Amino acid sequence: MNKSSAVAPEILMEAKDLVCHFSGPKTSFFGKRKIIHAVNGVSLDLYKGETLGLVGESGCGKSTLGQLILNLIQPTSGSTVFLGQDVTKVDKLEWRRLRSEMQLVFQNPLGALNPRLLIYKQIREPLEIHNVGDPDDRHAKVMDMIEAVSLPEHLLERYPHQLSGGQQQRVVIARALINNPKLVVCDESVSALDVSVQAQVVNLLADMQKKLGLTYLFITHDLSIVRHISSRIAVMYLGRIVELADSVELLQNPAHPYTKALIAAVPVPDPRARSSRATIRGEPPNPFDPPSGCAFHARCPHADAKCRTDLPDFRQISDRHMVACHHAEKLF
Amino acid sequence: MSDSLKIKSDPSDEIAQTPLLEVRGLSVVFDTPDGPQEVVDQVDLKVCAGRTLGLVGESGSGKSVTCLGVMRLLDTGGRVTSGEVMFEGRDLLKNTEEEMEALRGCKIGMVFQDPMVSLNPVRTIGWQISESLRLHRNLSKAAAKHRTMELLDLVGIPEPKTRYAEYPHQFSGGMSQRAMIAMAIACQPKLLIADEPTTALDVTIQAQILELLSDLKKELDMALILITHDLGVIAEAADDVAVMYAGRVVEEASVLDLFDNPLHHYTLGLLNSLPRIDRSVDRLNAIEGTAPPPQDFVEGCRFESRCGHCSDHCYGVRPSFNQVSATRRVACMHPREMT
Repeated sequence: MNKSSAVAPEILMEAKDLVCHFSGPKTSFFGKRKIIHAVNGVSLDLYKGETLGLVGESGCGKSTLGQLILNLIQPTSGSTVFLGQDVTKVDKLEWRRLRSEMQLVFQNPLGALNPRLLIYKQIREPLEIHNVGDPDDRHAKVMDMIEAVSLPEHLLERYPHQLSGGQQQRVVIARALINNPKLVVCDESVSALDVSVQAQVVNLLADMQKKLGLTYLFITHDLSIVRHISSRIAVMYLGRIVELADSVELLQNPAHPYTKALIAAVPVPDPRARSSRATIRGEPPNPFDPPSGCAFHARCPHADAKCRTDLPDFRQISDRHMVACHHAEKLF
Repeated sequence: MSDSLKIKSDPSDEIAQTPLLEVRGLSVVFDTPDGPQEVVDQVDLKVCAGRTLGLVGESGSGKSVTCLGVMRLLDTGGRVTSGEVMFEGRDLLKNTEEEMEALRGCKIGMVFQDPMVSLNPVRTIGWQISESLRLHRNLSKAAAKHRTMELLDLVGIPEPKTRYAEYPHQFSGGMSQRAMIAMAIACQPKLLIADEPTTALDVTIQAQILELLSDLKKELDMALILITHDLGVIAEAADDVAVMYAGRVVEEASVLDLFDNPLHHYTLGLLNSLPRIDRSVDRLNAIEGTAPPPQDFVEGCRFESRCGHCSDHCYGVRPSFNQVSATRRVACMHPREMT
């Protein structure tokens, strides 16, 4: 699944300097609201047909970035260009059309499904909303789709709570894909599933990608899955992307100390590989009160005076390998 | 960290040891509107002093309920119908409620998955940790406070003095889990039951908590039951492993044996379906189908519908345990060959 073709791939979606700030709760009656810097200047290209894995710890802004890319929340500044169109500026009608081309698959399928709608109607609903074909077409499409996601036909006349977690996630995927989207953002889509079922859904996502030529933005905290499914990986820390490279390259030659620590912390299912794992000390900083300079400096074993004051540029250190660290060359 | 993570070399010297906790034939039934459902079916477990037993299984396999049954913490609707739980020569199931109360949090500590739910939001962290010291150890307020500071320091919470007076909402997820652990080990228990202690945490914090548990285990000479769905955590932290599926233990082995040479087809399927950070595969080998819910539990092998090796023998009769070696057994009619 790891493609690194020499031809310049076609860009499907381009995020330009996205910034998203939320205002936090008031701390006192007359006090000012604090600003939370959820996404703090992220530029990212998504190529047609690729899977870009977006990893990071909770609170780093990866889900916010996913929603910004789908224009589900308005950025404070910056823009998202989808197939040449700036989605933050399109009018309502055009946006309605564009929306069927971008879909989102969430972590909790039961929360994403309507509890009072039959499975059949849930999968068919997007077709009704976007007025696709006549009723017979729609029915045929639903039947094709449930076969594609291997959902047994007798489940169509049931309600979401009567299905297992894996089946529910298949329904969500079927519903997301029925309008032939180009971009699918998977936000922790398989994290809540048991391993044996998780493997089935990961395989299904990979199959559907091949079949329909989909582009995935795969948001997760789980590096093992990301290695398996993505062609490129972006690592996020406190609202910024700190490293971006092809999957194998990133996992084998991580240049950012945070990426290194993240990889080292993943428990490997092999008792012989137990080692004194270089765990990083401390916890992610408070996004209300981001540290000066490099956001990682307080936990970084290589931090020096420069890291405490200067924000590192996100720069290229080798072909297709970007990193934001002052000492990347030394560590690479 | 270094030594504690090393695998104890030879498990055979542990065998002679009498187990600290021995569960025999424990069954738990839940009363539901559709009638009683047996969610834990004749489970045997053994934990020796100073060892870590990893209890691994998918959701609904009964691993948490087993431990709640052991601690007699099942709420209304759930009840233990058979079995015995021997701890220090006494059957916990025959204890009175008062005796259990004296035991919980004292000789047996527990840590749960979500620290934010387990902590009392209107009491300070310090008060909650010192509570068990005051109750079980009869310490004075001042002595309990002093000991609590030591505990906070022991579990790696910086600035114990200020943290003592703070409330749970002022703690991050990782810090609350450390506080939960401090609470569980306050009375130096012989056994710590940790139910998915790291599942809600980020990987870097998970690594820190696993390291902490393994350090504490050594320092306090505790035994640990580690309940998890994550085989990576098992490989990292367990000495012995019991694999549960659909309310039953299907395989027991030392951690090296289990990963080197899984004997049950379910164990192998589970290992094969894991995406790995240390190697690339084209396609994950998923196990087809899903685990049955309790209402569909059968008497025969419950993995049969997902197993590629079943025969007529697998239906109707519960697969008995095949004792492969002193530390290993597997409940399968057609176990894999030892290699």
